[in-house]
Amino acid sequence: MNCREAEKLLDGYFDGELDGDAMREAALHVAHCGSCEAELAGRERVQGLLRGSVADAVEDLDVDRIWQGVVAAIDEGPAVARRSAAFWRGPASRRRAADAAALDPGGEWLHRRSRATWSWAAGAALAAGLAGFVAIRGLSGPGSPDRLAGREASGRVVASAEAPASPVARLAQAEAPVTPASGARRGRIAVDSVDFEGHSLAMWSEPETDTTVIWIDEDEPSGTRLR
Amino acid sequence: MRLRAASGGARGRLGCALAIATAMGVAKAPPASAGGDQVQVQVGTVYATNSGQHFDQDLDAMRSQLERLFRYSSYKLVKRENRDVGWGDPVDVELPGGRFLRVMPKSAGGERVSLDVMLRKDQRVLMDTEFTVRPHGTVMVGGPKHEDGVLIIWIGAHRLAAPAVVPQGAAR
Repeated sequence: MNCREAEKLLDGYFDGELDGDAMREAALHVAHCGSCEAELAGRERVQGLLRGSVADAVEDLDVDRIWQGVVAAIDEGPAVARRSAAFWRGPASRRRAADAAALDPGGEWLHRRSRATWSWAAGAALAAGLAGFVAIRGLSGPGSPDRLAGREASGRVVASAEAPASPVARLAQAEAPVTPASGARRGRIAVDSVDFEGHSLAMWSEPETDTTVIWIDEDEPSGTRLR
Repeated sequence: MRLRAASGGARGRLGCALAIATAMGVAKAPPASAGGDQVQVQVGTVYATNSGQHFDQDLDAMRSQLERLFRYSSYKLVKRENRDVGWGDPVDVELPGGRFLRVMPKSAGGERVSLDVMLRKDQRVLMDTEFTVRPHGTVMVGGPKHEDGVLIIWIGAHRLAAPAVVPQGAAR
């Protein structure tokens, strides 16, 4: 096995998804190839960083609130698509969220200086909430090369109700529900991007009336930074 | 030799200027999908507050929607504008509190209209967004503080039908 062949197997090898023969061949190659071993070590570092960041994010995640939203959405049945049940917030925006009591609690809060892709899929609120939190922590994903670089400059949320995304991309780009998971009815509005000043931004939608709300919090100190 | 070099430089500058002018012309040209027709942009501004219990009659048509989407006790229409503009032509709306909204229809794909929306307060850009909206779709931008409440701005757009072409002799 040469490096080119091994490279195709590295992801599967790293995840333990190869069958016995392929796993053995990959292991043998990696054991004797410094380059591929370095590739593997890189993946381990990335996974470690992700694990640590996600763990931090989960600690701060208001799971109870998200779960209440999921339950409420299930109870509503077809009306679940009315608006997102996810409620994304971190320590700082919790404070703002408390101030924003007049807002619908079904909104999705994203910190400023984050970048996310957004689309509605009923029942995915929990995953979306986690994904959103990962994004607001500033994790870099394949579709967001400027996420970290742009953090000090301005917030940017990329949202689309129509662009399909793989589960991996969904996590990396922090996709949140906007249109029904069935895809039978697509939202009439696709928010392609949002650059915003302020501490946090919320978006929610009401497909029945083809309305999307973008809520910006303009009064937060601009120096607020994410951890 | 020096003169030739100077002429070459002048030609270079001329070429550069032409290239820039061409590029600007291309950038200014309406999108191919626009087809030369117009778009109607609707912008409305609502002042929402928890002081009192007042609902502006002018907002009756969207009362239930506002009450579903938000949780304020009073809603007052500040201004509403419908403007027919060409593609790439901005719609500028002054808002309370030194704010300024610019909506610019960019392109169309079928019934959809793609809009650039920028909200500024003085020299500060509060939000710069781009979205695609279908007929009857609305984007509401909320949150800017005003007095003891907030502003909620709704934005919609739809393509205006091109004037029908009457074939020659049809009037006879």
